[in-house]
Amino acid sequence: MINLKLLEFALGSISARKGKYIFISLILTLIIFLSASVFYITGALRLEASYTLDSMPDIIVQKQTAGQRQFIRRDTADRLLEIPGVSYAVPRIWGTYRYEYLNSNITIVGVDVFAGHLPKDIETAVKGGGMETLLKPDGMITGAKLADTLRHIYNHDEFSFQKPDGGYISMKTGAVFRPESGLISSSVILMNQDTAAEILGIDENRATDIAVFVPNPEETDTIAEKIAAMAPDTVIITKEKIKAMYQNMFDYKSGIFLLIFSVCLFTFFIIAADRFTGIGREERKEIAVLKALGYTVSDILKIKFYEAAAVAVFAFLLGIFLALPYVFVFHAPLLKNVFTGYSYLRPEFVLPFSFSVSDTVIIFLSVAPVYTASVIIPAWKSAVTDAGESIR
Amino acid sequence: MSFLIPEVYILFLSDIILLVFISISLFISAGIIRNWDFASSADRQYRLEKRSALVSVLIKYSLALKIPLFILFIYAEDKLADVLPGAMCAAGSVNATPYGKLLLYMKIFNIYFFSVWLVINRLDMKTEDLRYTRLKHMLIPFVFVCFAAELTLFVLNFAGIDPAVPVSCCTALFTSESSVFLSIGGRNSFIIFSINYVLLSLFFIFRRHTLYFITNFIYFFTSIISLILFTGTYVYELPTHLCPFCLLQGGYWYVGYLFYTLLFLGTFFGVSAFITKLVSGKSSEYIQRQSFIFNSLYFILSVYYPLSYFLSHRTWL
Repeated sequence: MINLKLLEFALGSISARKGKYIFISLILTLIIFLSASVFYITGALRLEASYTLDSMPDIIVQKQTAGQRQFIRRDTADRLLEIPGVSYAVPRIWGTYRYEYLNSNITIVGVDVFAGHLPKDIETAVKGGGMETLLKPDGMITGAKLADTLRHIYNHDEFSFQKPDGGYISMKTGAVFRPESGLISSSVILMNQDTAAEILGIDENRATDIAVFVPNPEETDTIAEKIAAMAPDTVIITKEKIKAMYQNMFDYKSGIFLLIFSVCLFTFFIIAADRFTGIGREERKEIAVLKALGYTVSDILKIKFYEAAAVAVFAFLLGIFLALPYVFVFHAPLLKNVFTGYSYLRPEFVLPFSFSVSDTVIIFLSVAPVYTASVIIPAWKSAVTDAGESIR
Repeated sequence: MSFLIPEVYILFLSDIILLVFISISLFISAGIIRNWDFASSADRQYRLEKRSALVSVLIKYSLALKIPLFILFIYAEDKLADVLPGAMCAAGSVNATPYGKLLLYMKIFNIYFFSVWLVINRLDMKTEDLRYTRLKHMLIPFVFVCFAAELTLFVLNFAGIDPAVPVSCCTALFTSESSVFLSIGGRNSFIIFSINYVLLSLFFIFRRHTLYFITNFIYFFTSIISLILFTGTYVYELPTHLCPFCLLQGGYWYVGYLFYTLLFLGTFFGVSAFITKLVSGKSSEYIQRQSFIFNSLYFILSVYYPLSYFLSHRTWL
């Protein structure tokens, strides 16, 4: 299959003409590095999102009339519990609070410490000494990053929320929680359910939505249908749907990147093709000598391919080797912002390590065809040059 | 929308590159078909010979790229199944648009077609007077048409996928009502497949090349039907799970890739032996043997799963 002698010759030819290849391999390395970084960031974000998904309820029921989301009646949960297959249904109180000073949104979550099926992060916060804080009407648990930000601004661990009717409620930071995932939780405040309802302006017998837990995932779709039949004014979101949405979103973002990236690839194609077309006098003479020695056109083409492949493999390995620390050690400065957006309370998350073989193969396939394609025609041109003419 | 999925995007980009290359080949071939004259020592003939070499490099490159891209295509369809409601494996996403199935068939056909072209190219290179050059260039327009058809189907398929519309999962698709071939039942399909294999072996031993080719051709279909209806159920260890795509998933150690690679190699060498005989009049024992070895390996793998199930559970499904 691979002719080792020809490969050796090709490697020798590369080291003899370093200048020609250094430029191409530098660009190729940069391109692979960029594309690899984007794929690894997406992979890491997907993993981060799956942390969130794990602790989510299987079905979320929201009320919607006239296309607007409304607060749902709390006693709907009792009706949902009667559906066979539902193990637990609980009204949840949460919402975003506009914080004009930082031009950001804070997510307020009302926690009923006696309810079951709390999300993992919240359960850790409750068990880790947050219980008493959450039982007090004026205690709150803030995310670690948010606590720092607030202390910077006000100099003490207190925050006054403005109610929809204009009055104020002062809350004291009783504890700080450090969730597994920074992405969701650096703008989150946990507090007593009643206080949360008061700040968010939710009526006593209403809730933001209802979380439904179904132990058997096979039954989720059927139960979702039953809920839709029982309460036609609701929007039903299953975990599967959210998962698909995440997948779509990440694919979309890396797709947009690839679209812009293809301009870059095209430019590279032209540069590489141009570079390979220009054969020097030396090289022309060398090919002529080889042909005089009895090398066929396909042998010379093979040598040219081995040269190109050696450069590609080198650049690919180097690109991946640089991208891994850039993403997972330095957490992708600059490039990360493309995916996370911009806000003052920007989550200070780290990218969890997630090396995926299939992503690496895709990175290779996104660059290799273009690169090899740029080699073919110049290689053929140099292989069929007239020997007699070149030697003369 | 689905063009922005990285896998689909890469498939599209690579197909565009191949389209450019095959168009160049078409252009060169047109010149060769009109002006090829091996006896001539004119400058033009010399130039045509050089260009003919370029065509074979381009087609070789296209095939070399098409095989990994085909695997990527299956992988992309498998991944799309996560997004499409109702789909659990590639079967659902392939059937998401009316073009999906056709696209899959066209892709398989094109891989065989490109390979056959390369077989003729190899034969041509071996002759001193480049006897088959005109023949192989006559095929290039067909290569172009087939590839253009594949690309059109590709665009129609992926532009038409709507992530909001539910699709069927494999168990709903591969029922006995869906196709005449699937109504014959698991046992029967395996018996037909085995008879087919026995015939194949007999024709191989007695060197009946044309008959071997015909049975080899039928083998491609009987083996896939038996894989869906019989062997597959033992891989899944579930008699109701009929699907040729779930085999490709991690839960079954990606064994599907092994099945299909063996089947491709076996049937391809079979076709290739026949083409060699058809074109050059000489039969190649070597290629024939390769074909038989891979077809046999496929057969052994197909028997291994049911047998190991029987030995460990003492019952058939």
